[in-house]
Amino acid sequence: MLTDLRLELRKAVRKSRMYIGPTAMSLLILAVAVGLKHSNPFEYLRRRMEQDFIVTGSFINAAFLCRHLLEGITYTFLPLFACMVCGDLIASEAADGTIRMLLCRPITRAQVVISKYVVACMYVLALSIGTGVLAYVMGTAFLGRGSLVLFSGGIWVLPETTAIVRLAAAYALVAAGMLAVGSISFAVSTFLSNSNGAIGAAMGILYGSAVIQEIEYFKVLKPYLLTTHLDIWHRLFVGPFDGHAFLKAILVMLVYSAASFAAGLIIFRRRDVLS
Amino acid sequence: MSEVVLETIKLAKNFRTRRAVDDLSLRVYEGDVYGFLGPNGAGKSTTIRMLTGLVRPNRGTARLLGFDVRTRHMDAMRNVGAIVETPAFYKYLSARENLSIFSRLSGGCDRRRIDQILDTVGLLDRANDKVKVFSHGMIQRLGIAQALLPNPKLVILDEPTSGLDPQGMKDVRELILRLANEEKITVFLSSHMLHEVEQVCNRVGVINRGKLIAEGEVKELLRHELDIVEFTVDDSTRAADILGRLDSLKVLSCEDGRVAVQSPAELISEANRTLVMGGLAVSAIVPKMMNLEDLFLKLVQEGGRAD
Repeated sequence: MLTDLRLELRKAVRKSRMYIGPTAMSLLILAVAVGLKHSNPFEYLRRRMEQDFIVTGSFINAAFLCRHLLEGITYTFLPLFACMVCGDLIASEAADGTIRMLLCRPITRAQVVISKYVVACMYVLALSIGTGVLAYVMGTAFLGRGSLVLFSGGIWVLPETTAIVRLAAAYALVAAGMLAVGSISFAVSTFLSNSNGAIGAAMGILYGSAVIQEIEYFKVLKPYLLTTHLDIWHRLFVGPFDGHAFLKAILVMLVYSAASFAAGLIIFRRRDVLS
Repeated sequence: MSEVVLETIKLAKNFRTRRAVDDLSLRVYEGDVYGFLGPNGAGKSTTIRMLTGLVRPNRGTARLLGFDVRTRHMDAMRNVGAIVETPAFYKYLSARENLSIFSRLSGGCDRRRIDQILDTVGLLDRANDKVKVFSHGMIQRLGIAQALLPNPKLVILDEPTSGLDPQGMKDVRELILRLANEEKITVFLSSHMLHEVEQVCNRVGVINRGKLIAEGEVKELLRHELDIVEFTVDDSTRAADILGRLDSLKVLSCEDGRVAVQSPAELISEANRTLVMGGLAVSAIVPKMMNLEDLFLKLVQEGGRAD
């Protein structure tokens, strides 16, 4: 099994598709950091605060960048890049015909699926956590460090150390969510010979779920929808800590991941390879 | 009797309502170079896909080296090298890296062995080039290389000379013969190149509409068909008339002083005597040599004949 995993990693690191996500995220973070440094879009907030408080330093810092970046990428870039790689690992081999060559070797289909899924998980986790780390590093370089100030039903000020811990937890929660989205894409790719189909299907499920959760008629489904729990990380920064809500969210995301993986495994073991 | 290395027992596969393979039973013995023939859509590729575990049969069993392909896939494929249709490789990796990856899935082999195989198929000087710059013929050669990499006891080759130039085809034919004769590797060869099969295979199976319509040794199958004889006479119309009256003899054609008949070998001399006694001058009696292509076309046109 370790050999299979090593081989999958060896192939993965040579694929240009693997580098699209990290490159795009790096450029995005750089653009946001540079933009925040040279224009202060939140100057009005600072002026308002100065009417009632003594404000020292800037609340536009590395922690602020990390927190607000997460807001913008949870439903856009991260799931897209996660699906792009997870949905490609099997589908591209089916499309290129290399899956035939693989399966004609003394290797079980379960081994193929497991090793590819582990690579998919590693990629998603590395992309999500790496984005957070890179945002903090670039934020520090361009904007400096400091407390995290949030305006959400009041003013919340988290000391730097607390902010870092909460940000790490937030990125970990988003990583778990992205793993669930990537797993759906992976499952779809086990019966398609086209990675675009897998990406489209997974993103469609994500956005469809986001729409459904807003419709009153479907409120009974809301606790089980992935998108209901993707935003749970917000609660790490404001309001009282609700451990039960976090556990429930993690559980739902893990169930989505595990169910998608199991479905992919079952489908791939049963399907005829005709490509 | 040699050991059976490849066997299908009443193998069947349907795709929706279409029956692609129908109760196919065939046996390939150790040391055989077995030609698997059939027209397009006959079920050859589906059979090979079932043999390699890519497609699940609806019924029946496929065994490689004594192991059921479905239930003991890893054991079955451990000593098997295969090309199923056009070989495919990771285009972003070099030829050597591709072979390294595929060899590790079969237990691994050292760089020397990889280079030796690349040399065998004439790709050693391109070993470090990425596969994306390879021509179709080069990919075909690399496909053969990956099939030979794990030192297999059985090689399954699906159209291995497709896309190769005449020299490449000759090289592959010679390679197959060398594998069989020197390295004692059993070869299961699916091909449209009937003259190629005739040159390298000792046994063949012919499949049409999913059914096996003939199987046996090439020489034996052709000998069965050596009952067509052509008489060269001075008056072919009269000759055809005379011969047509003989029992157990069938006139097939009559033109330009030549009459082709189908007849048991022991009746040829009697037919000749009859023609001479009828006042005709017989200048030649030529057994019409049927080759594998003739046999194949005859079998397929007849719509099948159990051998």
